[in-house]
Amino acid sequence: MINKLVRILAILVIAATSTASFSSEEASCDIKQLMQTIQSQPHLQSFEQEKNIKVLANPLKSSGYLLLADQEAVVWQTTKPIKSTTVISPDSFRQYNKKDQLVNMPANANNQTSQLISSTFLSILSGKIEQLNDNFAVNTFCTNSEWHISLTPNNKDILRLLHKVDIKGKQQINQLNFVEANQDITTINFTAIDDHTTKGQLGAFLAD
Amino acid sequence: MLTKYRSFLWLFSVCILGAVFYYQLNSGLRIETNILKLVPQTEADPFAEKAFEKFSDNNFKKVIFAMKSDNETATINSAKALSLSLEQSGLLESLDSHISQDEQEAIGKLYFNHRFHLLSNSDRKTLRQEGNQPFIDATLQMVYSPLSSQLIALLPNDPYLLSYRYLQSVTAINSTHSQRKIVDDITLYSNQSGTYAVVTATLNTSPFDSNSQQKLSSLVTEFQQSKTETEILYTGAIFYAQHAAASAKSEISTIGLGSLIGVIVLLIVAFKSVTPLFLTLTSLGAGIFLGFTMTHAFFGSVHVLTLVFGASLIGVAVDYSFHYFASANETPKPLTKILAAISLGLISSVIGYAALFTTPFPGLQQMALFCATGLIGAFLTVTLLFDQVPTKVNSPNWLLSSFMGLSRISQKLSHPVFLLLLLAAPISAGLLLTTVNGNNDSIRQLQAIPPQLHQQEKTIQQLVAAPATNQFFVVKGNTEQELLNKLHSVTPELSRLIEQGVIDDYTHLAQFVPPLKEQTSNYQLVSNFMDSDSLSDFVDLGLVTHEQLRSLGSEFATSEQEYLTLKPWLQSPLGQRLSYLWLDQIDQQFSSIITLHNIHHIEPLAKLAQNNPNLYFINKVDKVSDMFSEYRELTLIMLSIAITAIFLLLSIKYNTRIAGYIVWGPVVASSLAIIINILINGSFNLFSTLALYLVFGIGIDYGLFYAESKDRSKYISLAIGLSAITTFLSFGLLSLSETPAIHAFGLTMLTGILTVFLLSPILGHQIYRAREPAND
Repeated sequence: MINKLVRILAILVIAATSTASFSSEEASCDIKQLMQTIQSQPHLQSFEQEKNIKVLANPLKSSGYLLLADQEAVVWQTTKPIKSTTVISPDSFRQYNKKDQLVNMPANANNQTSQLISSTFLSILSGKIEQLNDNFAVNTFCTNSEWHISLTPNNKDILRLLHKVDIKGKQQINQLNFVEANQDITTINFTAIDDHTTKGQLGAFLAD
Repeated sequence: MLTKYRSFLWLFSVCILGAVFYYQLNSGLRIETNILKLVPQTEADPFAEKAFEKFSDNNFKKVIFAMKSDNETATINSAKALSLSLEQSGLLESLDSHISQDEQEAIGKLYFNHRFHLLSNSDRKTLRQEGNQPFIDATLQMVYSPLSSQLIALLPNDPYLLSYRYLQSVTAINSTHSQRKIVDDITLYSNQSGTYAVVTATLNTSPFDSNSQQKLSSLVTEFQQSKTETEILYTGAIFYAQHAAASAKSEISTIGLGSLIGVIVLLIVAFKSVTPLFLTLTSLGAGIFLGFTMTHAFFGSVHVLTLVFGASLIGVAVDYSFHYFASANETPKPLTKILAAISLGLISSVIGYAALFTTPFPGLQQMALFCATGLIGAFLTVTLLFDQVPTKVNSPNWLLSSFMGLSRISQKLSHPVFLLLLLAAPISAGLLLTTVNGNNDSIRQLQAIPPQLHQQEKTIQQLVAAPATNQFFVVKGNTEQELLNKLHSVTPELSRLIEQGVIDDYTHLAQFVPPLKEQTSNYQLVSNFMDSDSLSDFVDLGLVTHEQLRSLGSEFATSEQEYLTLKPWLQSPLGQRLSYLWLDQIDQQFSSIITLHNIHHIEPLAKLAQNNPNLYFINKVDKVSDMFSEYRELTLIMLSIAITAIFLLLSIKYNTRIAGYIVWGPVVASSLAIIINILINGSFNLFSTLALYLVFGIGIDYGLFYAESKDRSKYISLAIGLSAITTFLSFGLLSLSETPAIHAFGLTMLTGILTVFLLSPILGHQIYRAREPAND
């Protein structure tokens, strides 16, 4: 058990950022058009997240809001079970605690796992999947009702953490599915909302 | 003394010398090559000297490569290819830039095993001031973020993620470089000119090993040829050592051989016989033999640069032979004719070297002893042996007429007004010396440094923010723990230096292995938050079960004495990569260094060490440069004292006027040498000052030959002319050397000897004139 934990610890320490590789697919399901759809999706959304962790008996559920600021930054706020806010932009990654105070997480986090999350997340949510070209194989699949984009890492560092990412949507991204290297699965469902108060409150983090 | 006894005496002396040399040979001849051995100790405390030596021995083995291709993937592939060929070359002790999966796990395991004792400074402060809530919040924040389930598995054993947090803070040390990242096990650094992959390694041999130099050089060349699209930069002592060795080799073979052939040809042409050549080489050989044996006996070793500089005594020693054979043209017993002149010449040279010997500078002392004893050896050979071998010398007329022509021109120039005008030289030299800065008195003068290699070093240093190799702190302690305590206690002051912009960063062992006192206090602090109440949030959210909590409690209780100590850390892959921080025991004291990164101001560092008895600040290059400046001034003063002493001696022997003319030649020549050096090199350094001693020695000899000759002999011009030509050949060519010190030495000799050669017949006429009324 301890050895396994140690391995995990080591993986987390060396995990580094990466950007992806891109192999397009059927013409009927053009990736560029899908990108445009994602780019024009509503800025404010609510999300429900469910994490199925093998070592835990019950899934971990959380919910919150997501604000996309002109494809340049993302404010990700978990409100339940504990409030926390993360601001991701191409050149920064900031986290705020439940009292909206900036958290100085372990200093190196900024260079390691979080950079992976930030670059992948920002690219997916803002419809810049081209940017993932170097390190992911991108496949698309469309039905009458929705489209699917599947990202498979081809970079050794990302593979240590992530097995696969599936994105589903129609007018916007409806669901994100992460399968981690240890087969833990995170599913996030998005719903567009129009709430000026929440938008203002999330937007305030961008001003910092 | 009867003639036959003299040759026996010479043979007997050579035999005794041979016996001494044989003894030295049997007990091991030591030729020193380390430049640092040539300079005096800069540290008052021998401990600091030893610490520097130990650190530089480690550091000398490091090599760093930085490469850049058209894109990141190509850059990474190039770095992988280079790493592979380095590993397969058999040159490496370790490849430091690559940390394998197993090694990463070993590091993780080490810190995980001691997680309850390890807190970063900020975590300790937070835990003390705000309790465990911020840690719970941070953990939950991570747990509920989309991509963090791997950390969740750690929670039952480490709910506050202490091991993860500490490991993050440790790996952040020295990697605050915002433009650094690791991709595919390759470390990439970015700056304004692009992204470079950096490969660092430690060699398994000394950088002075010529085989390793050869192998590494061909490896780099092959790499460059196979990856033409990749720009590669490299640095390390081995590259400098290889360049220095290659340039020394080519200089010795071209300059050395060229001058030797020149001297031999000159001797044969001038004296039309091989006997003078044979005898002259015997006298030079005896001189060098005596010089070497005496220096080795006195110092226990001879430095290779002493040999290079010391070999310059040939230029002086050969004069005795030239005067002997030049006189042999006109008298069958030349020795009686020249004995007084060459004896005075020897005494004046020895006075000069004796002054040099009084400086507390091992390099100068060695050179002085080598030259003084060498001259005595050559002198004794001329006086004891030369007239034992019947020599018939017949110098060609064309040669004599050439030198006589020069003498006639000199006679016209020999006017008091002209001699007075020469006063301008020492005045200008004095003025220039007071205005020029002493920045050129650097230890780097002793090594040929190609600008390209130096530029690459600077680029790499800036790119990776590598620790300074010549400036650092040393800390010592009676025990390992005392040492760690001292390192720990100095941390706030070091952090203040960063805040003040003195340095960008620092590294020491206590950042990776906190002292036991600190670990105990961390454990006690953590123990306040390991009860079930404190951890209830994790249980409530289903992240940790009650059973896991109980087993965590018992593991915590039993691990109270599980301190992280220095030994296992040093054996870990992280410790091995940072092993240069650890100097082990020096004089029964555990010692370690604090490296400094990107030093912006030196003074506050020296000041910190002055005010803190636990810290030694080592600043070798600057200290040596300061010392060189100091000795440059000292040697100039010593030279002035020696000139005064010689002048007084000559005044007693002749009169002040003749003594003045003898001394005036070398004074003007030295002044011109100073002026030319400053005009060409922009400075006048210690090594040029050393050459002035020879200019004086030879210059005084020239004057003495005029003063001692009974009549205006054409053979004096011949002897002085030949002497000057050999000196040009021996040393003038040194001015072409790539090594700054040797270049400065050669240039001074070239200008000094040329001037003294042109001036001596002019002054010679004045000496004759001054003497004539007395003779009448």
